[in-house]
Amino acid sequence: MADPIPGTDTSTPAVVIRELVRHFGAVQALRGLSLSIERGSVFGLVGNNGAGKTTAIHTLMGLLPPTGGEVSVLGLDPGRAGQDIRRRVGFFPERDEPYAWLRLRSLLQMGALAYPDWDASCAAEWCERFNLDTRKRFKQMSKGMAAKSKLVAALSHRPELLILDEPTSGLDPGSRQDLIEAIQSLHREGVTILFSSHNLDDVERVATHVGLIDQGRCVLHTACEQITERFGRVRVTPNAAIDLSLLDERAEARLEVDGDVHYLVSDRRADWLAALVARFGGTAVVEPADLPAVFRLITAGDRPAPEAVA
Amino acid sequence: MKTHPITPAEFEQSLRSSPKALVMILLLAVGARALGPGPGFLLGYFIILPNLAMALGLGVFQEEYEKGHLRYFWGWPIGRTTLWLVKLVSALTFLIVIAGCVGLVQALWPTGAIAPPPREVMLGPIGPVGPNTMLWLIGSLALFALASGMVGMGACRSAKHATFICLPLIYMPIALVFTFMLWFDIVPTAGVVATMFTAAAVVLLIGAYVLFRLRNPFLEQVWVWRGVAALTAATAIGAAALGLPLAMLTGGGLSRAMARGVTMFEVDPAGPWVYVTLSDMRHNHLAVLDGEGGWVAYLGKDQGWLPWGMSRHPDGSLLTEQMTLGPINAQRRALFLHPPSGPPRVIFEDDEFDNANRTVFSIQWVAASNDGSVLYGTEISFDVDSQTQQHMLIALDTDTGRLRRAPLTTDQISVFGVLPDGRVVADMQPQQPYNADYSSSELVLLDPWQNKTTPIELPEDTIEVVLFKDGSALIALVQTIDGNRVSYRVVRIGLPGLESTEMTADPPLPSLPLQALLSRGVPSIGAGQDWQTGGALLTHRAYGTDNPTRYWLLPPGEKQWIGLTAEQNTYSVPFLSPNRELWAAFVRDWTSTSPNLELHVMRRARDGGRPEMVLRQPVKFAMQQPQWLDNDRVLYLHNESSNPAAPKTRLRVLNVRTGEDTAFTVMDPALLAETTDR
Repeated sequence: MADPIPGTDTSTPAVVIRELVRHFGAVQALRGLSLSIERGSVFGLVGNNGAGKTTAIHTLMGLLPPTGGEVSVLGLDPGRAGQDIRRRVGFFPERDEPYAWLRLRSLLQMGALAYPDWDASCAAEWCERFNLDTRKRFKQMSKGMAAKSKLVAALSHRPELLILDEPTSGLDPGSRQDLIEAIQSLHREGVTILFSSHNLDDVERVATHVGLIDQGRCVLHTACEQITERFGRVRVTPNAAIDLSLLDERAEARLEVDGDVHYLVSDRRADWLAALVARFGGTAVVEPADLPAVFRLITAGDRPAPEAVA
Repeated sequence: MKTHPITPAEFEQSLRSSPKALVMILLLAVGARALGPGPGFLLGYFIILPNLAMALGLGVFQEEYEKGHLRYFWGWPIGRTTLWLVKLVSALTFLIVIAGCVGLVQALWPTGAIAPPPREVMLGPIGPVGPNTMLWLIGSLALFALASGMVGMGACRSAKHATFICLPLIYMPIALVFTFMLWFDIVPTAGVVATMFTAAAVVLLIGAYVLFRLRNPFLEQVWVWRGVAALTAATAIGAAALGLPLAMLTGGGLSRAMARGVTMFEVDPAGPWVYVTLSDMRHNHLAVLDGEGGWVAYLGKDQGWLPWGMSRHPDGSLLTEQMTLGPINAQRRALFLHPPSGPPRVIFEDDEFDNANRTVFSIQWVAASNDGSVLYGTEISFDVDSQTQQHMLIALDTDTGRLRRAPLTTDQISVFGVLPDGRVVADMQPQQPYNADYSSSELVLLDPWQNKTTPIELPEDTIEVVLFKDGSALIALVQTIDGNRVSYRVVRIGLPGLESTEMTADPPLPSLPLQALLSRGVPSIGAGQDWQTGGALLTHRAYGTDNPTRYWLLPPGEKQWIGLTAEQNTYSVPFLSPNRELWAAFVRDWTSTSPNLELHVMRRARDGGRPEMVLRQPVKFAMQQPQWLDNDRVLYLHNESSNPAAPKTRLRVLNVRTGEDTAFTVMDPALLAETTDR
């Protein structure tokens, strides 16, 4: 049987990153990043500023050559087949914009010339859905309209993989909602989506999988539904004899104070946490661990990162 | 052909930015043109256009680099080489539009029409440049400036920084030209300079492309000064490596006016004084020396002196002069000069253009009256609006500077000369050169002051007509074909009486086989005005052979022809010594491939005897005739440089009695300049 055409094997993950390293002079942006994205999934890439999210995305798009490690996008090497990848991937850059004086219709015209699989009806459909005026120049658009326009340009060639770099950053709630719904809609159509975001609520709402990058490494890589199984969170009613900060200092759990309410979050199961609190004479109520709490747990201070789990 | 995705954006951007840019360019061009046709032309095409082209080069990727738009489009599957080419073609198109705007202003300016573009333009030391070469030069300079801007932007990605790189870069080839001039004594032609600009532009365009491909907009790459330095050096070396050999190899690579040393001289026996034009790399100087090479007077610098237009005046000498002031506009002058009295006195000065009346003047001084009190010339005035021209005779009173004009005719006219009384010998039906047929000519004696015209009857089969410089007679050379032989004779027509006299020459003029005439197509004997005496000179030269050249010279006032026979084929016309015993001429051995020349000094053959060789002297330079300083000494130019493309000429004097060949003391041009500055 003949080998499949490179990049067309749908059984392989859409994205595979192994030990990716990227240095900018003395700055180590990525220090051995590894992750994979299954086809059809919505992968939320989260991390603090400077964690390496955008660098990783640029490497996937073939825009930055890696210093070390391996990258595969749709089965292709971005270093060698960057143009092929860019042809099959829709890319939404965070800060980069088309010319300010460019009209949306001109951008779409350019897209039709650039992408062989450009679907003008798809572009028109999305423009209508987002209520975009194609005669407007980018400098005349609100930030939300510009983001929606860039999204239309990124998905009108019906890409297999959509890479969105901070698509909801700085948007008003309405625009954010529109974009989230668009991502959900595309997910239902089977498009694989990688999107980075600071907004963990957005990620929780749409992502099927999440990858947390901290200091150039992936410190958490899991399906969203597994987060509650892997991380414990209890609401504590402390008594006088218990010093909860001691638990925080011993890195056994992270203490979060929300007014009069205290929470303990840990990468151990919630029943273990509840038992621990009980040993000190406190009362603990088990609650499901959410992504923001896990994010804060993992990225806080010098706490050792938990082993990434696929 | 598939359209590149950037094309619609580029088109939209051009449409968006063009109106403002074009208005600015038009205003700049109008401002430049307001300075006058000459400065306006130079400012428009050699300052404004290159700087605009440089700005355009900076702007090709300014927005993309400075605002990060390349980062956005780099996420698309677009061909980057094609993108670069589309942007380049777009810039070139706009550059042509800019040049067109500047040209439009030049052409449509109210006075622009009287400076028609086909004219040659004086470009400083480079000299006159024709329209095609000028177009190439301007185009290559603009392309070079555009490429400089692209390199600067590619290197810095900041227009502000790039400007600092580009401004010196665009004048680098000009600096190379001056380096050639100062170090190698070579002034490249405009064609060579244009070739240098083109080569440098190609190098820079390749460099700009390489920079474009090497620069990753997703990386904060540091300023690549080493790359820019290397590219600039490569451009300079490349342009020099191409330009220098080209300048040395091309015959026109040297501007004669910029050859160092003495470039022209003329002996005025009245002193005797020697007028010399000396050139350093910056200026031409005219000085007067005495018969021993001693300093007499400094007459000025950077003026297009024509010393051989000299006419006598009872109180001194009268020089006619043509001076070019600007690259297009020119000014004509007539000067009165008495060397011991110092600098010349301007007796006539006029612009070539009359902008107010939209008229172009062309003045040619022809002759002076015998007493030197009146200088005659012809003037053609061209009315730009009616596209008509008018021929005038002009008479300038050399004492008062008063100018009188008399209309000649509006038809084509060829003025042979002016008689001392102001009458004109003219051909009303001038023939093409070498037509050798005066049968249809209408040679007339015109008195424009009295409005009288007298036909001059020429003998049948006249092939040449020579007017004595003093206007005392016309000499007609007549060719007669009899059977298979061609014979020649001369007829003297006295002026102003028009009496004809058949003259016999001694030795007699040759009778030649008809075949010799038919094979060459032009007569074997030529006639012309003798440069030295102002009389008539007949020359019988056997081209391509070493057969001796023969001359018949008739000075004004003489009744007998002076026959001179060279020892071999001469290269120049003979110059008689003041006592007419000896004559000198340059001689070349035509049977040899060697270009070596000799200065021959011959004694005139008496009573039909053989000519006697007095002296022969190898010479390396024969751009100007030797001249007799007195009866014993011949003055000639000698090239001291081994580089044929860059002669350094000095005057030498050959004593024909002693055979001594010494330098004629001429002050060094640099020293001369210092002297005049003091």
